[in-house]
Order: sequence, then structure tokens, then C-alpha cells
Amino acid sequence: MTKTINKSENLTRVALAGAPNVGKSTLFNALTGMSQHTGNWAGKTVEIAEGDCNRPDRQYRFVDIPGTYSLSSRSPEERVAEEYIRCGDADVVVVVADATRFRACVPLLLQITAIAESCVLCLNFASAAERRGAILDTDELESIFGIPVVKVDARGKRGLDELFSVIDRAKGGTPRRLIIEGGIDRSAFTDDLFITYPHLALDEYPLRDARIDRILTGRKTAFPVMALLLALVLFITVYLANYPSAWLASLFEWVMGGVSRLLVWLHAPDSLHSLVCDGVLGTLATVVSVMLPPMAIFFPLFTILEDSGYLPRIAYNLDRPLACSGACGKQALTMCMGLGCNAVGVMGCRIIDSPRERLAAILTNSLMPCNGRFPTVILLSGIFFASGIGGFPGGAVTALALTITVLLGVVLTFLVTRILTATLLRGEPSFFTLEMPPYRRPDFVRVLTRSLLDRTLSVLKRAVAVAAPAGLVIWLLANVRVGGGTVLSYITSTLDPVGRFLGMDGTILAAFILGLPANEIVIPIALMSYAAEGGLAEMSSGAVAEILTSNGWTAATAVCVTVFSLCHFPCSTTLITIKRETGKLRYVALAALLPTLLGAILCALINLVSGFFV
Amino acid sequence: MDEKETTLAAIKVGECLTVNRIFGNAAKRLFDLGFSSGASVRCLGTAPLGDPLMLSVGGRVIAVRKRDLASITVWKR
Repeated sequence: MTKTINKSENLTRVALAGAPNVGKSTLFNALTGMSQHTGNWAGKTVEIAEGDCNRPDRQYRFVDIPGTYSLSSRSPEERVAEEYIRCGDADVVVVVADATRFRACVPLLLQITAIAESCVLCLNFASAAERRGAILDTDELESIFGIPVVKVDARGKRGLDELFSVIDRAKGGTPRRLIIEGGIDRSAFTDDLFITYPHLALDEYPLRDARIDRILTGRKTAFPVMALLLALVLFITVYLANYPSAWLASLFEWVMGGVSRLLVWLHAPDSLHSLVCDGVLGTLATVVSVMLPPMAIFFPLFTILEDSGYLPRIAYNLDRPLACSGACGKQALTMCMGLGCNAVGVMGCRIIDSPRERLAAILTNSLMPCNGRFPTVILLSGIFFASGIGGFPGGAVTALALTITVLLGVVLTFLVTRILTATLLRGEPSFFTLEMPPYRRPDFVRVLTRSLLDRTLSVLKRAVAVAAPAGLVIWLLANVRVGGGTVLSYITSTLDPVGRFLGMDGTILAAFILGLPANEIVIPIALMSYAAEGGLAEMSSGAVAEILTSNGWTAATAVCVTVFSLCHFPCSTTLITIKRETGKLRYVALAALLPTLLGAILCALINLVSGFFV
Repeated sequence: MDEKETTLAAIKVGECLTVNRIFGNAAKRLFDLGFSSGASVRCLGTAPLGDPLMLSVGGRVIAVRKRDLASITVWKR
């Protein structure tokens, strides 16, 4: 982004300003869709998102200024927000306010109208406010604040046309400025305003919210509800993902069949055929059909919880235990994101203000098992702990095993965070506040379309980028012969002593290492190695059970593999994300070493203990 | 009138107190959130393990740790 003053007639630059939690980002997304990108304005460190909207008669460029509670010069975000508004780069500043909590938005509105050339007040959640009894007359509000006013519903994309006409009006006309100069007490003005116009304000904590909070944050019910909700989300993700997984697998089979025939027709050598079909395409098929469906289900579920207003309650409930571990409540949210994908969880750590606490959250995120590790846990618990129990009860047992694994991950996260904040990341607890938004009905359609499209596309891109080269490498290792065996068998036998010490074996360890690009391929690599196959292949769980037991697997082995799956280095995408977010290689190394060390210790202990029971 | 000066950390659920002074490192951030002198604060509840407190101030609902509330003084009977 450059600080150009491009005041061309047909391009209107609009800044979106406002406090956090007013739906500014939702509005920005609704206005700019896929065209948005982030960048650093005038070389500052705060990232700003920019996007375009092309209407039939005009072009608009929207700039999403960081959400702040005030325009003072305290934090980098506030400084950038104030500077951007003051510099006049934007033709119009749209102040987004939450109509259901309008009173809280007035102070910032007054600050902005004092310094911006042209302003517009955009009341988001207007229909929700009116349904609850607020009377929002745009003419009345215009006469109070001296700027054009518009009512929108960002989630439902309503009122956007009116927003554009109001922006045009603000750009074109001379602003009728609200006479609030220095010296006039803004809070007195606000108090008087809502005494004179009581119909503008709603109770910020309605009875309905109080009732819901009594259950979701009550002393006896908060934790059971969270655990139940976790189990439910896991169960839905795992259960629903089976269908698209199977469908994708057959799609890939069809594609592979076509490519295979093409290669045969081109008289390609057998090794090339195997490399492309078994190696590259086989790995791609496994990764995509296993990775895509759970994430496409998990993240919409997560967004629904976010939209409803429940997520801050999770952070609120878990702030005390996290504070005892030296962290803050927002880490609970990054842990939830990490359940879907650790790379997303690491990026999500931006919501944590304190750099020390943010680092703790980043370094421990991989202790929350991502969607990619679910299949490992499910497969193994299905074979070793729920054998013989089919259908729905069998599914429930594996969902339970998964929930227990996740809870173990939670416990370990608290433990490791405690150790980190007592040693490497020592410091004072940060100032922690969390705004609790009102409970709102999520817009399911918007969540589904937005989450599905965004998430699916980005996962797909990443899977292809990572899985194709990984498939190539794995094929080479499994098929290039050196000395008496393949390179892979050599690696496997070298790692065997270490593997056995950890209650596993060389094959499993090699599989974990080769699974660095994507956790989904760990078990498939192990199976391929056991069966001395040339590539990853689909197997029924019966066939898998056969192979594992005939290679010496016991229930103890399954436990060790599950624990190591929980506690080992993050996948390559996550490691790259950590480098991007922290900027330092040493944190990447730490993020890889910490969980692996923990996993090794735990597995060695389990192996030791299980030795006494055999 | 036997009111004594105490901090907002002593607020009980359902109670409504008026802010007297804010001091300390977090003072400016608290001010931005609505804890200005003379502002009315209502305690809406506590987290299951006792901390943080859910408060309503300036038309906003926020969770604040008792530790940070200790830097806000109020008059209480």
C-alpha cells in the first residue's frame, strides 16, 4: 500500500474504522469478497487489509483499519488507526458501530468525527437492535451527530446499497461537523445523549444472555458443557467426514486410472508409471481425501461457535487455569483453532497481545492434535480398543478415544506452558481483558459458504503443494535400491533400536519423520513400509489390523504411537508459519524439539511400564 | 456515611459501584474500555473458577481479572 493521494473521480477510498467486535471485518469481507489482501501501510508494522469493490458506476477501495477502543497513541494499532484517518488518504471514513451496544461505540465515534474530513456512521446489527426495541431513525441520528447515518446487517449483507449511496453523499457534500471541540467532556455528552434519546440504547446484558451465561459459565456447568461440546464437535467432524472422504478417494482412483492409461499409451517406462501413479498421485489422493473433509466440517463448526458469541466465554472460563500456567485465556482459543489445523492455530496467536504469552501459545500449539492426526487415533483405537464393536457404538468408542486424546493434549499444553513460563519465557502476567459480545444467532448460510470456500480452497492449495513433492520423495525412498534393499528399508532398520526403546519400531519412527509434510500420511507410510509396497495404498481396516499385528504391534504399541502422534514436531506447514509469525529460526527449532522430547519421554515411560505387565 | 475506599476487585455479583480513581500501568487501557472517573460499573458474574469477573461498564460487557481491578478505587459501604 502506498500513501498516494489518488483523488481520481471514479475511485473512492473508504476507510472502515470502529471498535473491535462490531462486525467490521464481516462488513469488510461482504464488501470486498475475494479481492482483499493485506499489507503494511507506509512501512508500519501493523498489517492493514485492503480490498476493492467495483460497482456499475464507480470503484471503491476499502481499507480495514485495525479495530481499536480509542484513538490515543498507546498501541501500534491505535497509532496507525489515528494516523490513517488524520492523513486524509481516505475520501470517506465509515465508522462501524454495533447498534445493539451503541452506547459503547459513541466515544470512538466522537473522536473520529473530530479529526476526519468526511464521516459516515454505519450501524451494524441494526435489525437485531430494532427487534429488541431500539428505535433507530437515521434522520434523527444525522441531526444528532451531524454526519450521514446508515443501517446495515453485515452478516446478512443487507443495507449495503444504502451504504454506498451514503458514502457517495459524504464524499460529494460538505460535512456538517458535530461541534465537539476540545474542552467539551465527551463522556458527559454521551451520558446526556442517552438520557435525551433513551430509545437509542439497549440493555447491554439482556436477560437472555444472563440465562445462557449461567449455564455456559456457571460454576458447576461450565466445564462439563465445554467437554461435551468438544466431544460433539469431534464426533460430528469425524462422522460426517467419512462420506466425502470416500467420495474423494474414488474420485482420485478414477483420475489415477485415467493417468495410468495415458502413461501406458505413451509407452512410459514402468518406473515412471509407478512414480507418477503410486508415488505422486497416490500420496496426493491420500492427503486430500483425508485432509479436506474434516477441515471443511470443523472450521464451519468453529465459525458458528465464533459467530454465536460463545468463544470468548471459553477464554473466560479457562483464563484462571491458563493464568496459573503463566498464560492467558485467549490461548484457549488458539488451542481450539489448533484442533482444526496447527498452522491456523499458530496464526491465530496474533489475538494474544503479550509477546511472551503469544510465544508460549505458539510453541505449545502442536500439542493439540490437528485434524490430520485424527485418522491415526481413530484407526488405532478402532483396531486395538474397539475391535469387534461395529457400527454406531464402535463409532462412539472411537470418538471417546479421540476426546480423551484431545483432553490429554489439553493437560500437556497446560503443563508445558507452565514449564515454559517458569523458565525460558519468564515475565509478569499481562493485562488481560476480553470483551464479551452479546449472543447472536449465527448466519449459517454465510458461515457455510464463506468457511467452506475459503477453507477448502486454501487447504487444497496447501495439500497439493506439500503432498505432491512428498509423494515423489517417498516413492524414491521406497523404490530406489541400494545395496540389498531400498533406501527406506535402510532408514527403517537404522532407526529400529531407537524406535523399540520408545515402544514403537524403526518403521513407525521413519513414518513419523517422513510424515513431516502432512500428518495424514504417517500411518499410510508405515503400512506401505510393512507391506513392502511401492506406494501408499487404500486398505480396509481389517487388512490394516492384519499387517500391524503380524508386525508385532500390541495395544501398548498403539498407545505409544497415539502419544507420539500427539507429542511430536509440528508439520512443515506449521513450522513455516511459526517462522513467519516469530521471525526467528530458534523458535522454530524449539517448537520442533519440545513436543518431540516430551513425546519421547512419555513413550519410553509407557514402554517401560507396559514391560512389567507383559 | 461509613463508606470506605476499596478497589473494584472487591465488587460482588449484582453489585453496582462508581469508579473513583484509576492508577497503575493498566490505567490508560482501562480508561479506554470505559472505566473513567464517575463511571458506573455493574458486576454481572464470575468465571467458574472465581476469576475473571464479568463487568458491565459504559455500555460494554468485559471480563477483567481481579488483579487488574485492584488498580481501580471505588467507595463502598
